[in-house]
Amino acid sequence: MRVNLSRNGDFSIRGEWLKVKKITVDDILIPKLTFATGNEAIVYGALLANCRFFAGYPITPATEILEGMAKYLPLLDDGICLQMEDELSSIAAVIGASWNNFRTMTATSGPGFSLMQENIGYACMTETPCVIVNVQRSGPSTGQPTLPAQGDVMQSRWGTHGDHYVIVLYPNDVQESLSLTIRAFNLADKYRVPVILLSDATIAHTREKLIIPNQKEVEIIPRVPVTIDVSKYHPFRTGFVRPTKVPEMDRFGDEYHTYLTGLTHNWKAYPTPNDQEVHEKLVKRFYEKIRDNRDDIITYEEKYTKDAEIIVVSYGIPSRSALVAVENARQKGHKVGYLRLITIWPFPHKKIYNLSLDIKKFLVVEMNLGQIFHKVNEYSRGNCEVEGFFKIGGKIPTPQEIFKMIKKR
Amino acid sequence: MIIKIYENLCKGIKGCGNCIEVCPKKLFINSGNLNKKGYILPKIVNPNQCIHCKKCELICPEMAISVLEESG
Repeated sequence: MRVNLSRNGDFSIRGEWLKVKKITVDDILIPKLTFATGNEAIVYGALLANCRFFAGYPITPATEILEGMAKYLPLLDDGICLQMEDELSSIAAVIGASWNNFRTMTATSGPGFSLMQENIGYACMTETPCVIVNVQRSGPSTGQPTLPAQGDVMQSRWGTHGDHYVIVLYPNDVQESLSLTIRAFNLADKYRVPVILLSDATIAHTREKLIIPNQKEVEIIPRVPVTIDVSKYHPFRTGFVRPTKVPEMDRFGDEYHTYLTGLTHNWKAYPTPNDQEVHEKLVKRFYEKIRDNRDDIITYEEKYTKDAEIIVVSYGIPSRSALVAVENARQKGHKVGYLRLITIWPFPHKKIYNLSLDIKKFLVVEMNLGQIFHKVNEYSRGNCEVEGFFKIGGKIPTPQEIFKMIKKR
Repeated sequence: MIIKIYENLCKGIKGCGNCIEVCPKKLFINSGNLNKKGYILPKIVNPNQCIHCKKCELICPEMAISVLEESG
């Protein structure tokens, strides 16, 4: 029996065409109030953001993202989910798929993130948009696989070698895991940069209330396609069609010709590894395309900061303890404020500086031995005291412990 | 001066074309001929004008170009 398949999924048997109902994201994700883990929320967010390619390798505590993608993506007619042989090939597949006009994502944890660093550098150099989810666990090396930590904050910014810029986002609950995943895809496509979405084992495995939004309400900023005439097109030429430092992106297989290389390349994409001027111009542009748009990218949450004397700075899961501690301290008459970083990199340096002018002390609460602590210290420029409260080993700082630190002064 | 192009190795000027771009004397052009794999090969015009900078030899990612000095 001869069966013909058409591109939209219809098939014919003995010349009779049968209509098949296409499965869309609306059929999979019905807008409703549900109960989900952080990893599931990331999967839902990716599907809502039109992510149709996922390549990954299972690792605790990020496995559920691969499981969710393997469950849903093959149902969609343009969805592909691959389990690769390791993390190196996962990120390589993600970069390749991104150049085929997919919105792509991979998910891993600390050890896998270390393996991915080389190709994250390649993605920075070739300006490939992609989303890398790093669900953090305790390190170094294999560490404590099932327990949370925040040790990869500096690695996500400076993990790969050379001067590069990436955007790093960090949610602190399940609902925000979904919304920040959507935002990560939008930022990646808008600035043509790898976006790293940090999470940790606690957020990943906590079941919480989650409102799945309607797909029509989700804001999607698509990649800027190339519209210029073929003869005038050059892959890394900026400021020619639009006044921006982000070049338009073509795709493999279309009429435009792009030669990609990890070597320093000029605006025609030809390698020029010995030219100082070209290298300086290229790498400075990587910095400037993010730095010029810091106001658009940076987000944070602040509460009770107007009359505060001490401000608790935190991000990710300890920020939830910090908020409880701050509210308790407020009830007992302490003038305490709360600042939570949602965008870790680029760092909200102006906010830290402005706050430091009026307060006595920053208290930085982290689940590592001081990484953002140094940045807060740097940008407060000696205007106020900076103290850190660091707790590692997989136990989250409790509100009582943070309250004790607030009271201590 | 002899510039030798190993035709079997070349990945073609459509996918790469680095030799055409890099040559300061613009000695490489599109030959219009295909090799066994179906890639369009470059061709050298006026090999006498070669200044022996070896940029093409260095840049070629497939190592398909050799600039040989005529041994005296």
